[in-house]
This record gives sequence, structure tokens and C-alpha cells, in this order.
Amino acid sequence: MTRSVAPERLSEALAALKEWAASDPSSWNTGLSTEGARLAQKTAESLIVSGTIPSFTAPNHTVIWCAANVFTAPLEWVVQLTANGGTVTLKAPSDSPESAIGIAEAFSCMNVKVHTAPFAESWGLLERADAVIGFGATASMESLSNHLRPETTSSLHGHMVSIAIVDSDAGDLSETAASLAMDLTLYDGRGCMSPVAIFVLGSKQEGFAYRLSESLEAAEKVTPRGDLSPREGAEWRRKTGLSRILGLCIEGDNWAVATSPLEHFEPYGQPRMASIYCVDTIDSALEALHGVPLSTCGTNVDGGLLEGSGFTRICQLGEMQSPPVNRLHDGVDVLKKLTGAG
Amino acid sequence: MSHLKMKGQIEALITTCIPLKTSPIELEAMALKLAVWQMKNIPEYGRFAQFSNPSSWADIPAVPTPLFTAIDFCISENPAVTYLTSGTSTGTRGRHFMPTSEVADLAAKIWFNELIPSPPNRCLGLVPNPEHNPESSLGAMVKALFPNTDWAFSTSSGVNIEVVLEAINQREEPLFIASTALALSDTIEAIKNTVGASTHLPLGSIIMITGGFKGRHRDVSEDDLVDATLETFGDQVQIVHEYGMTELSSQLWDLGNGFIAPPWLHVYTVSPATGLPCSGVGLLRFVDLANYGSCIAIETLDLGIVEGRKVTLLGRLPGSKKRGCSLTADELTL
Repeated sequence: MTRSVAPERLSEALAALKEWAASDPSSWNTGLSTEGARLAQKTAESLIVSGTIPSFTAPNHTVIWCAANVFTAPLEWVVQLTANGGTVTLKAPSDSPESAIGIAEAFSCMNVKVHTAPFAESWGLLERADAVIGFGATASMESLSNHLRPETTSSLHGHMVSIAIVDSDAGDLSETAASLAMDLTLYDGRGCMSPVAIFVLGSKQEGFAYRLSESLEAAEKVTPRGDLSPREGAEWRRKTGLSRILGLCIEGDNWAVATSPLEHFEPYGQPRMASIYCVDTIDSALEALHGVPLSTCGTNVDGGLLEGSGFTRICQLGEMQSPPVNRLHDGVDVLKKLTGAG
Repeated sequence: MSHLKMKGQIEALITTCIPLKTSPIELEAMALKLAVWQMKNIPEYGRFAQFSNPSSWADIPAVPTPLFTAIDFCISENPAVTYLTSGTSTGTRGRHFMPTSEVADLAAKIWFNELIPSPPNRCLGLVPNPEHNPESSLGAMVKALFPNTDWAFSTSSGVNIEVVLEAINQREEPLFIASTALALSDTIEAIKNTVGASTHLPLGSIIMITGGFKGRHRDVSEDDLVDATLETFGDQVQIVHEYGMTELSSQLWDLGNGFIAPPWLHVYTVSPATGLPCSGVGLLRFVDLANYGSCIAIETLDLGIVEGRKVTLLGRLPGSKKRGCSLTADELTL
């Protein structure tokens, strides 16, 4: 069922969005630097403002189960649901609720509330939910799913892996590197749509690594990386060490380009670390990805070559973390699922 | 400098540094010399360290222990010894190749004898028997300390309670029991179930406990294990704790007042996030001169506090805070 979104509701939602985008994110505990948080804030606002907000019959009350630190993830749903007359409760990540509180404050006039109790003490929220959108670790989403009422619609999104595939012989190497550096910089590479690995084809693989290092260094000057967690720090030293021994590691302050042999492929990334694996063919990259839950592929090769490869979204480099509103999310039409139409 | 010449220098240092009271400055100078020598002669360490020229203990590039699952650091192309980690943290076993076990054995014996000058003559091994498990660095250490150990543990069938009881029942002489926490706990449980008579050991007996229970079928607190040990074997036994790891050739011992490292094993802490030296709680880094033929400096995933040569262990670095929907290395290992 569709209807036109009420213009006044849409205006109010967009005004709330604007208010949120003007807020100071430095106290939101995003894990990003203030500049990094601002970049994410502006990118999220711009994508929503430039997109088309669809009209639909929103569930009366939707709970959005938020993941830590991809702090803008709930926004597009908050805007779409509230603009269409729904109310929303954000279940904040228990160890860093500040960013969800920030969204709820900006959207308070749209009946957006926030819930900050720990994960296991939040099941009561679901009793009042007509719909649930969830983001987080796969196990958390499974647990969440087990607590839903049968009549509650839901769209739950566990962990997915995104990668980039670069043909070093295609186009301008520096431009390609700059685009990819943007994908690695937004959210410090911690989001589901950040490239955890970069498969590089062609004859200029090493040259690409150096161009990418220049772009990451430039990005660091404008948008510094946030602090690493203790575990990330230990993992950073392991991974750069491996790369120094077996491949090529170009390191700067708070960034690294770490090239390793394909047999050392790992489907997880490090903030501002470009993990490069040189390959001869796309098939070798896809073989390494066998069994990995795939999300986005950013690439400068013909997308047709990746058909049937399992990615839910294929896009240009530089756009990996800037998906349009109204896309399929992890291959799923979220709004259809929430409204019971999908 | 040749491999054998370097080995000789390190052996001489380990043998003499306690009686001669070798100064920390001299030990550091030798460590720096060994580090540069390893960079030149062990290509993997050279590339890791980027052929740097360290000027202090903390300047010596420390290899993170998880790298031992992927990289072999050894001066010899045909290592005589390969010790393997348990692999309980990552599912993949780390490897420590050594050109010979002689230096590690020497280091183990000298430090043990310094701390426990008159150990019992008999030893019961509740650790892997190196004859059957040559990959066990723990078993090798116990064998170096007590060549005539009665082995009562196997990795396939666990504790052999009959061998344990036989050793315990020879009450005329003190006994040294070398055990992992898990095997000791299993042994105590088995004794409770099978023995009516006293299993108290003679005065002068010592029980060494090492390791924890991570990922195993039993989980007992350290205090409970100590209580159960004293209850089973008698208050007169001395309990000592050993801390070692496959990637090290030297060990730390705790005789009741914290773990103490030998002089040739420099320990310091770094901030886990930055890798920079820190005071207070940090990741433990070891510069082990006894690792002369493999990798002089390692960074562990163990947290601790270092005060002089005393080390307080605080457990493993916990998993990182979950960020976004990204997985951490702990959550997904292919």
C-alpha cells in the first residue's frame, strides 16, 4: 500500500535531520576523531537529503536495534519511518549509547525515543514493537530474532564483509587510489560497507599500493583516524608485521597499506589499513572469498564480471560507504519487510 | 659472527651473569648485539624489524606472538627443535623453531636452580612427555630440569592416576610435581574418587602449577586449586607457579611473591593500543637472550604489571569492543 508522504511530516523529519547534522559529535563516543565523525555525519545527511523518501504505511512503532559506532546507520530509517507517521525507539549500543541519544534528541519532536539498557535487559522493548530493524553481530541478531513476537515484522542484519577489486591498469591510478582512500577513511573502515580487503589486478599493483599510501596520508591530514582499541592496536602490529615479512608494508601515522600473499587473506579489516592482496584474476579473489558473507564490492572493473559472485551491491570505488537511500540493504527491501509486503 | 660463536657467547652470559652480577647495561648491550645479529642472519626477523639499529631494550622490535602461526624465525634452515603452541586462542598452532634446545635447557636449569637450589630428587610430570610429544616446550623444560621424571600424563588419555599414586606412595623422599593447572585439577579429582588413604607428600615436596583452563572441560579458580592442592597433598608442600610460553626459551617463577624473570629475560609493558612502553598495566613484552637462534623479542597478548624484575600477570587482553558490524580477529578465523 502506498500513499504520498505528508509534506509537513517530511519537512519536520528533514528539519530534525538538519538539527542532528549540526550537532557536535565529539561527545558521542563514536570511536572516530571529531573530524571523522563530522565527515560521517555530513555524508549521512547528504545521502538522505539528496535521496527520495518513499511513501508507505509505516508500522506504528518500530524498534531500531543499533550497532556501536556506525552511528549514522539508524538515520535513514528514522527519517523514512517518522516522515511516514511512525514512531521509533532506538535501542542504543549499551557500551556507547551517546550517538543514539544524539539522534533521539534531534528527532524528539518526531516521537523518537532512546533505550539505553544492556542488550539482555532490553527484550521488553520488543513487546511493544510492530517492527524491528536490527544491526550488529550475527549472533546478536539471532538472539534478537528469537525474542520477537510472531506478529512483529523485522529486518535483521548481521555481519557482512565488503571488499574492493581494483584493476591497476584501468583509468588513472591516483584517482582510483583517492576514491578507495575515501572508502577506507569513512567510519575509519569499521562499517559493513568498508573494504576489509582490496584485491588488486593488473601490472601496476605495487604502484597502486604507493598511490594509495599517498591518498591515505592526505586523508589523515584532513580527517585523522580515531584511536585504536587495545585489541585493534595488537592486531595492527600483527598485521603490519606479517606484511613487512611477506609482502610490502607502507606505514604512516595512523594508516598503513599492507600487502600480503593471498593465502593470508583475512575477512576482517583494521581502521585505516588497506589490506591488499595481489591477484591475477577476479576468480582467484572470489575463490578466497568463498564462504564469507558478502555485502558491497567497490570496483573499477566491469561490474558484469562480478555477476553471480554473491555481492549484494556493486558500486564504483569511492561510493562504497555512500549507498543511496531506498537501496536494497544486504539484498533486502527493508521497508517491504517491515510493512509485511516482502 | 658465526652461529656457533653467538651461541657460545649467549651460553657464557647465561652461565655467568648471576654469579658475576652482570650489570643491566651489559645485558642490554648484548641484547642489542644479538638483535642486530638476528636481523642480519634471520631474514624474516630482519624484514620484520626493517633492519633497524635499536639502542635500548624497548627499541628492539618485538614480534607479536600470533605471528608465530604464520612465520618461522630460525637461524637454521634445519632446526633441531620445533615447539608448538596449543592453538587454543586462534585455532592455529604457533611454531617456535630452534637450532638446538641446548640454550633453552641451560637457561631453564640455571634460573630454576637459582630460585630453588635444593629441589627434590624425584619428579612426577603431569605435563606432556617429550618422548611422545616432542613439540611440547613445557615437557622439554621439565625434562631439562628433571631428566628422570616419571611421566603421568599424555595428551591423548590425560592423567595416568596409577603412575601418580605410585609416585605419591613412595613417601620417603620429597617429590616435585610439575603440572598444568588442568592436569592437577584432574589429578585431585581422580585421587578423591579412587583413594581412601592419605596422599600427603613429605616435607620438602614442591608442586609446580602452570597454565590455565581456557577452553577446557574444567574451570577452577586459582585460589580453589591451591586450596584443593594443599588439602590433597598436605599443607607442608610448597606451591610454585611457572610462567613460560612456547615462543620463549626462558621462564618466570613465582615462589609466593610474584613472578620473577631471570636477568637475561627483560620484561616490560606497552600500551596495547599504541605499542609504546608504558608504566602500570600493559601488554607484556619479553626480550629473551636465550632465544638466541630464533627471535629475541616478542610481544604477548598477556596483560601484566612489571616492577623491577617482578611481574604480575593479569590475564589475556580481552577482545576489542565491538565496533560497527565489523568482526574482530577473535570472532572469525578462517
